[in-house]
Amino acid sequence: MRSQATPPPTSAGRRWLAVLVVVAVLLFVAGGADAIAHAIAGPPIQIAGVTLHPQAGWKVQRRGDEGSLHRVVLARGSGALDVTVIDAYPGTADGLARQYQDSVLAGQLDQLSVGDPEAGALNDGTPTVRYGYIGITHDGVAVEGVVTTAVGPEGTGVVFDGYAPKGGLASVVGGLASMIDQTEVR
Amino acid sequence: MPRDAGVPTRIHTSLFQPRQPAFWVFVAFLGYGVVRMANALVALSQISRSGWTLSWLLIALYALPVFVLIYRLDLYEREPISLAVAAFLWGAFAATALALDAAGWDRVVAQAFGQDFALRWGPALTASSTEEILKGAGVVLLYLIVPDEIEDMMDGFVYGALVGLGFAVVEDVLYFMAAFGGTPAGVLQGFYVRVLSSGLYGHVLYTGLIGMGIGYFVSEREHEPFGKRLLVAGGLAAVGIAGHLLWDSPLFNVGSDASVLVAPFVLALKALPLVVFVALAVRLARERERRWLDAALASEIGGDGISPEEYRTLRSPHLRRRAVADMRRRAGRSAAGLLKRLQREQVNLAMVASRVASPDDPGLARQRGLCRSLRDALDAIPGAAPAVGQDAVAVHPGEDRGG
Repeated sequence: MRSQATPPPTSAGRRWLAVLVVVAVLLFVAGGADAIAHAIAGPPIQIAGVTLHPQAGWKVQRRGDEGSLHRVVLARGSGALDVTVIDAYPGTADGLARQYQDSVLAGQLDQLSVGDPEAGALNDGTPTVRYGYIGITHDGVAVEGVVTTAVGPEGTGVVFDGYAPKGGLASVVGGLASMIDQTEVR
Repeated sequence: MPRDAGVPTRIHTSLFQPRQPAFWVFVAFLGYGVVRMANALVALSQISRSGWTLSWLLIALYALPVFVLIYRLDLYEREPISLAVAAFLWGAFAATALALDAAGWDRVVAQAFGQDFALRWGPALTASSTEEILKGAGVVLLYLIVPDEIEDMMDGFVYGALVGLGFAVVEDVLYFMAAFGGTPAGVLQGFYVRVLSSGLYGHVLYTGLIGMGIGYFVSEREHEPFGKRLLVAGGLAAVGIAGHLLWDSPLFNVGSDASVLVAPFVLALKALPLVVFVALAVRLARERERRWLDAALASEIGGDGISPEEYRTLRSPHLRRRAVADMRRRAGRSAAGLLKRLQREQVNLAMVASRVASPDDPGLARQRGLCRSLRDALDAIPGAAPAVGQDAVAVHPGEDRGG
């Protein structure tokens, strides 16, 4: 209810301007997120046939190539994502998962305990196999991690090994899952 | 607003203003929202027809009384029903659909601050700001369609709260079906958690505050500098968004092992500051309305338009309702309707009196005449005549004897 005299009517031009501003705000709020997310995202990392999209705060710690194996390690706080890419891998994601467990994890960790593998897929549709594990490094540090393997349509094999000291995985698992799911594999 | 030159009598306008560009913007976004949300709601009904039906029944039990309560908050002037319904529909369909489209802001938070921060704080940061902006835009569009209908903070609160109520209704049904399983048992659990324990105020209060800010900004154009209006409106909007953020935040969250009896109390404590703030703001706004009525009618009391007894009744919504009820009992439904019309025209008399420059203004004289003719018509109905001013006397017997 108005407390004083009626204000003068707003001009048609200002009314149009106000409507356009409201429309712009609605469109920006509803649809502007993708453009901003794209603008602030870090540059993608290319490793052989794999494109990684690092989340904020994840930095490349090590990177190297050895024959058909290509490796990059990203770290954030006490968490790490060890990505290994294999050119022209002849097997399946399931076989790659078992091979990684037997030849890498079993050699690096004592008292290794591995969870049941679960099938899944990356955002680009590439099938994956994922399992969790816990173990103790040779220098006595208890670690927990999640291994995800995938083999792309052109035969590029990739192993994502995300890990952290025991109790620390929960604080980075969201970022790990997001980076892994967004990875593109050829 | 159609208004005769020199006769500034208040005429309620409706939503349908095809000459206003804002009307077509409102219709376009609402149409988009109806199509988008209808598809989503129909798809969810496939989970369980009985659960879906139960969801709407339970929500109606909550929403209908709240709608009436909000609608009646304004002491002297009910908003046009088409605008009240439009506000509700904007919240229910346009704002919810656009909020679904705005889900990408969670990704922006994840990109900027990391996924783990986004998991904890993303929904609180993004939902509180995007949803309140989308809901508040509905109130702004309503103002641009019919500027005369948002005339003070209380009008803004009413429209904002109705937008918030519409939003809460559809969001709750989505949650019942998608997050609580959609079965009748899941829906009942969802109703307990989201509505009984925590949803009775949420969106209604947040957007009510934003509407209040909009109401202040547009109604004080003539009296307050732009900077102050912006500060007050921005402050109220910030409180609304902050209340929403606090509610969605992981702070003070009860664990999943909390007892179903303890959880509502903890949640109520979390919302208490905002409830108190809004109650205070609404009370101040109503006091302001009363002061406005007193000032506007000061020179009219005892004249043709309104008697002292009628004025005392008019000031109190409770006395007004009681006078109408008594009239219905004594003289029938048509007499009660006529009394309601007289009260409405006396409020209009206050509006006309506050707008004209001279007490001899022809528009003001015409409004006095209208009130007098209504009173005469009422007096002519058998049994009605004494009731017009008796209610106030009946409620204040001491004053009457003292006189």
